[in-house]
Amino acid sequence: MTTYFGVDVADVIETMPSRFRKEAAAGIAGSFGYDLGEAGRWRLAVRDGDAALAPAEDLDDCLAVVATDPQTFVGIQLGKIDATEAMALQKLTVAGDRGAFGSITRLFQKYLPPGEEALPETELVVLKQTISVDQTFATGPVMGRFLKGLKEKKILAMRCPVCGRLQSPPREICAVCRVRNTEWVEIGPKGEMRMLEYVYYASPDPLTGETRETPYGAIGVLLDGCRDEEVFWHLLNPAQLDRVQMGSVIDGQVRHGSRLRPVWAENRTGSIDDIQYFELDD
Amino acid sequence: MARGTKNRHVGIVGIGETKFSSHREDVNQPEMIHEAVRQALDDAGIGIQEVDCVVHGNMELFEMVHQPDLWHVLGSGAYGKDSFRITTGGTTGGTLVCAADNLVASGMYDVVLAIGFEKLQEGHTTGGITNMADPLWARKLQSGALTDSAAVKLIEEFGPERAKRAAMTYRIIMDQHACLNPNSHRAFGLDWDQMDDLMADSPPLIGNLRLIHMCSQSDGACALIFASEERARQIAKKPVWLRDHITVHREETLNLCTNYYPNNPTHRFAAEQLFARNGIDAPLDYFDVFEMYDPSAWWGVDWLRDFFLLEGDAHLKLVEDREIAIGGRMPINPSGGVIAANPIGATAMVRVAEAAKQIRGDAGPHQVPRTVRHALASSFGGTMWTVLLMLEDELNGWGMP
Repeated sequence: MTTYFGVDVADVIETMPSRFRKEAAAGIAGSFGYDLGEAGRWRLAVRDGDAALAPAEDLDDCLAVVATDPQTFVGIQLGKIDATEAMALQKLTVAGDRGAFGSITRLFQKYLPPGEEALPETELVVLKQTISVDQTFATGPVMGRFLKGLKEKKILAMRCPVCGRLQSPPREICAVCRVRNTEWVEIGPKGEMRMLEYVYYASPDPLTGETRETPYGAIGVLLDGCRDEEVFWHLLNPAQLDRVQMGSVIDGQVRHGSRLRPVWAENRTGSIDDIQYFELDD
Repeated sequence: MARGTKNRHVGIVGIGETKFSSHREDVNQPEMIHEAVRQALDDAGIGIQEVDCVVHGNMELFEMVHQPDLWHVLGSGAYGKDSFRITTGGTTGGTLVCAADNLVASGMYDVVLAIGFEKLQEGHTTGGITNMADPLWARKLQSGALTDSAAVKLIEEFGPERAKRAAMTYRIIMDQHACLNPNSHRAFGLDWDQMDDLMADSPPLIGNLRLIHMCSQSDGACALIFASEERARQIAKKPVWLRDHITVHREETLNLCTNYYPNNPTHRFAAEQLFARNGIDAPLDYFDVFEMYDPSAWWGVDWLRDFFLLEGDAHLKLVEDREIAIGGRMPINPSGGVIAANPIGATAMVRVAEAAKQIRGDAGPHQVPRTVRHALASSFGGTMWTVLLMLEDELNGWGMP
């Protein structure tokens, strides 16, 4: 017979009776079918704590029949393939009483390839660690002035003296033109929805260590006074996720998105949290 | 930008890749990279004593082990040798190749061993990437490497039905390739009749980016040995020549001001520069295979347009006509690509390793079924950093003053 993962599929099948754990089989009686494609069809008869395995053409009388290819079968036995994933991909199906079949899989000792049976079980020693670090970041004069503006409910941007583009949060230089930005401009605070990231994936918030509540919307808002790609990156009121429209510009064709306004926090400290989120400006 | 030419040619003479997997608790980090190093040395047929310099890289914030090159000396063979450490995010593997190439081309070293690795199971990938973001603004908003921006862009331009089918077609082709590659971490055996179910039922991550579209988090290592032309011809029967490479950055890690808007990709800029200076007018005709750093099926589809300097919907047609399959006009990722295995610090180097194997003709079951003479490999990191590399089977007189 053929080998998979370096193991003879026949050896996995034929050692099933010897791997059967009699002590765990009390009260279980019935036949279970294994349809293993080119590795054949097998009937496992369980009665009075004993198991007998024989090739079988007809598996109609079985309580449950598992159908899979020999590679998947061997892979699951060796722990190389995840059974749940194989089922999700329809590489393994169970017909009949799935509950009964589930109980039968627990009646076997783990298969060990020839030569490895005598080896004592190896323990994989792993070390679990969690680190927690308090950090303090300097804002610098430019980001500092911008954050101070948020305290006063103002959104500030810096304009590049060469290309004229606005950056907010502001940057000390325009990296494209390689010049220092000098002019401060107030933008928004209202604007138009350009980009919505409708986030389902619950990622960790590195500022708090907490897992973010989902779904939430991370957005790019084109604040009034800005143009083209000069969008402002913040959050959307999660209750309005399904009510907003994204705008776009394709080949100069403008489609406007929903109008949005910031919701300011009661106590503002000069941080991104001074704006709770943006919401529809109806 | 002023740019010199190579002082001398550089060839890849040894290739090593571990099997990629979601978990390698059976080995620690030095043991895991040693598997790739041993393979590369055996492939080259040389001993570690013949290596002059070791270049080592990964992304430290994933495993939170700093200076892992020091821990890894026992596995890398760097004891007593000149050694450099490189960490440039997703592009790390590509930058390792560029660094090794420059070190040999400069004449400083004749033989350089480059090692890229990652054991993502030992840390938290999305947490790590989010910590890469600007602490004053972007950390609050960033969700790791996950973004829906390519899907938004493709859907806006081509409509939801066509865009979604193209992304899933790309995904199934990549899975078919992954099934041919014994090193794959994820190879599902997806069939075309599953397309509609996957489009509807795969769990959504962000917008239209679903779990099935996204790359894995893998453990694994890759090692490549580079040698000067003279040494390469002595060491290897068939050295693969690293013709040229280009690195293009954007302004900062995460562009705070334009991050969430379809932006000017560095991929296209890199491709334009690289092809122009190498006299390549029609990249789609010139190259025989492309190993692309494709973190998701959406990005994979979108970036074909940039890398091959295509216009309109030519990139979608390549996918729809399945011309990107291993036997197609432009085989993309016969290895299965990044969606099949993503040990991040090794990932971009695996693209180069796989492209080199294709040129040698010994890629194994996923060898492109025609002669491969010219190969392209890309790396991606942060917001659209690009490293783009060209590999050749012959020197053909290019690249020298």
